[in-house]
Amino acid sequence: MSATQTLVCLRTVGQDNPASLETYLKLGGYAQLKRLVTDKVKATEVISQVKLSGLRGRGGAGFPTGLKWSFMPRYFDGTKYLVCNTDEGEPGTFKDRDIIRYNPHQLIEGMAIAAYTLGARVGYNYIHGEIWQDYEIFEAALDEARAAGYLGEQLFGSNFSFDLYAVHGYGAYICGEETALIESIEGKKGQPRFKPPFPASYGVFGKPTNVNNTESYTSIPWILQHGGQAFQELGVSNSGGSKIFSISGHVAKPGNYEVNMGIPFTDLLEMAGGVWKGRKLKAVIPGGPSTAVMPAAAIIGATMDYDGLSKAGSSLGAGSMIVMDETTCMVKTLKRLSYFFFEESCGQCTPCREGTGWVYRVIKRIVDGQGKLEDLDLLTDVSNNISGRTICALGDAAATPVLSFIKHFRPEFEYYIRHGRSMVEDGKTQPEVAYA
Amino acid sequence: MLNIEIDGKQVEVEHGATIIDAADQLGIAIPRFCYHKKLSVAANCRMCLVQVEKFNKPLPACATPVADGMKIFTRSKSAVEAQQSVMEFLLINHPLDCPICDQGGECDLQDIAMAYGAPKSRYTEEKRVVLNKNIGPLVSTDMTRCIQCTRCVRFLKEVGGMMELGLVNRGEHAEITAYVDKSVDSELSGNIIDLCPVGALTSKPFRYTARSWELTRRPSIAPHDGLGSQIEVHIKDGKVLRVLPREKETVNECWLSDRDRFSYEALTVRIG
Repeated sequence: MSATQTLVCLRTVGQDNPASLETYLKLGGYAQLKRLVTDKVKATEVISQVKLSGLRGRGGAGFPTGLKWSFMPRYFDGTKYLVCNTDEGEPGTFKDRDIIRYNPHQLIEGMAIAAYTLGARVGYNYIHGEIWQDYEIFEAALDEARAAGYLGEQLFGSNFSFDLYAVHGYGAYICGEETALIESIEGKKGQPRFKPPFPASYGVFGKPTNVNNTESYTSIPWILQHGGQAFQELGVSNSGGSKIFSISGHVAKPGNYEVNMGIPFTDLLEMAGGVWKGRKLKAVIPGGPSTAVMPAAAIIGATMDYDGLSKAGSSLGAGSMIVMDETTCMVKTLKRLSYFFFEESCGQCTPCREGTGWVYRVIKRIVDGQGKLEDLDLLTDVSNNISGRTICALGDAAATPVLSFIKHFRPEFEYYIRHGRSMVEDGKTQPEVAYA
Repeated sequence: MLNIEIDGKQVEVEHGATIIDAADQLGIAIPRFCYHKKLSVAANCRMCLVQVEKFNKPLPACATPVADGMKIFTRSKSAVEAQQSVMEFLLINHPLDCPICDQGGECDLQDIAMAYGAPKSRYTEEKRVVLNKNIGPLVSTDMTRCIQCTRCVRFLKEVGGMMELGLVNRGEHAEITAYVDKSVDSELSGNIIDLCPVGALTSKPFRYTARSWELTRRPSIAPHDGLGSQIEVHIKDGKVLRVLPREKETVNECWLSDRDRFSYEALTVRIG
């Protein structure tokens, strides 16, 4: 039997007019917010449900959301802020876009619940600058929610007030890093801050701020409606709930699939129609380009959850799965990915600013037929020198594809360097490597 | 007070002190470019990475506050590897034109590269070229040499009081520039020459007149600013070639106004 989707964050999909308030209300929307506010449910109870749910940050880092919420100072003299990170910009990521496009009200309710729990007065949803249409959809949803009394002053006759605003970026990938995002909201150049202090103590305008991913916030109303335990049980141990996988690349039916955590990779691939044109699977990037690439043999037996993928040698990231068939040239793929990180480095700190350009130029030289065999060791060494020595995680993200591509496809790189053209163009494949 | 250990030496430091403060107190040299004791911490050059016990990644000494009982290693394998790799990254796009650079002989990059740089570069690709900016009659720019430490940006904003320089563009295209078609008008602009750890910002009047090691240095007091700033007059062949501030915390800290820095020209230049 083939696996089916579990619609938590995308639950309005399939309805008429999915983004409208009317549709969301029909599905029981805003009931949880109303219940919490009118019954004056204690913040600690909400946090314990979120902790119980096993929800982990869906933006890629996988930090437990409930734990993050408990870092926010409970008593603070002044405004606390809530920020939603919808700045998804990595190649192959497109889940947050669909949440906003089809189910913006659940995100708004999730943020309002978080604001109630954490005592935040003002919230911002930072939307990637290249998805303008979705920014407009979200603005329209905000207007609807304000008019219906789900946002604003003294909600449901209580003394809880929450204002939510949409902020759009201008397309910089680095603004998806939470402190760069905060700088950008403040109207400054999007450059990551040095941490500590973390946003929970020094965030937007220097005030305590909670930053979560769109999918994390959107899961909250479901968790409170069905209980943390039910959410945890959707998934597997240590990876609770459902997860949207954005499947792109060489599959018959690319798109967003919301499934239970822990789904076997083969089931998920089948759901997306399998590898297209009846071709053979070559490699998969399971969580977006900042996670390590996996050869077919390594991922075929893996389950799609945090532990499953880390055991198999990669990570879940943001669940942006890029599938590559046997006609893919890994050298050219790596050139494209390293160009992305080279272009998107903010230029603030040395290893990333200088290293990403170096790596890209060496790979480009290989693709242009001017490579030398010692370039592969050089690439590995330079990537290791970037990794772990930068202000933010972009340095690590830039190094991961280089290290993993060379690790798993070294014979293909060597062939390219020796012959000046791709192994794939010559109709050859590198010898199979066995993976445990 | 907190008790910590750096390279096996015990030291007692105040709450809130950073690793670099503690190391300076002990006289342990940690290489640095962006850090300056009078400016805010940027932690962007990454040169001061050191190893701290219980952390698997090297930490920047300038931005890491010390905790009681912390054990820091500035010369361990992991620290030196990190410092050497950052040095390599800084040098790949630097023109290495020291023989024709005015900063030669008093250049932080040159000095630290002697200690941490490799004798031969592994970088064989094209180097970056950055257009020079005309930021006025006092400060000469050679932006290809810039290592984007942002000391000049931070000085003009935090000490000068006006943000006249900034870092624009992203990644490798990042460059320091003034507002479009504007000069740096601060009356303290000469200090960015002293702050620049490389030869990107040098003195226009002094340019190409002498090498730093040819100069005789005489202490003096600034005649113009009314503060009595402490200065150092640099002389070659009986001629005053430049004036630099001397450090005096209670008077001029380590700064000097432009009129005192550049007024020595009146000793030799006659107009009309």
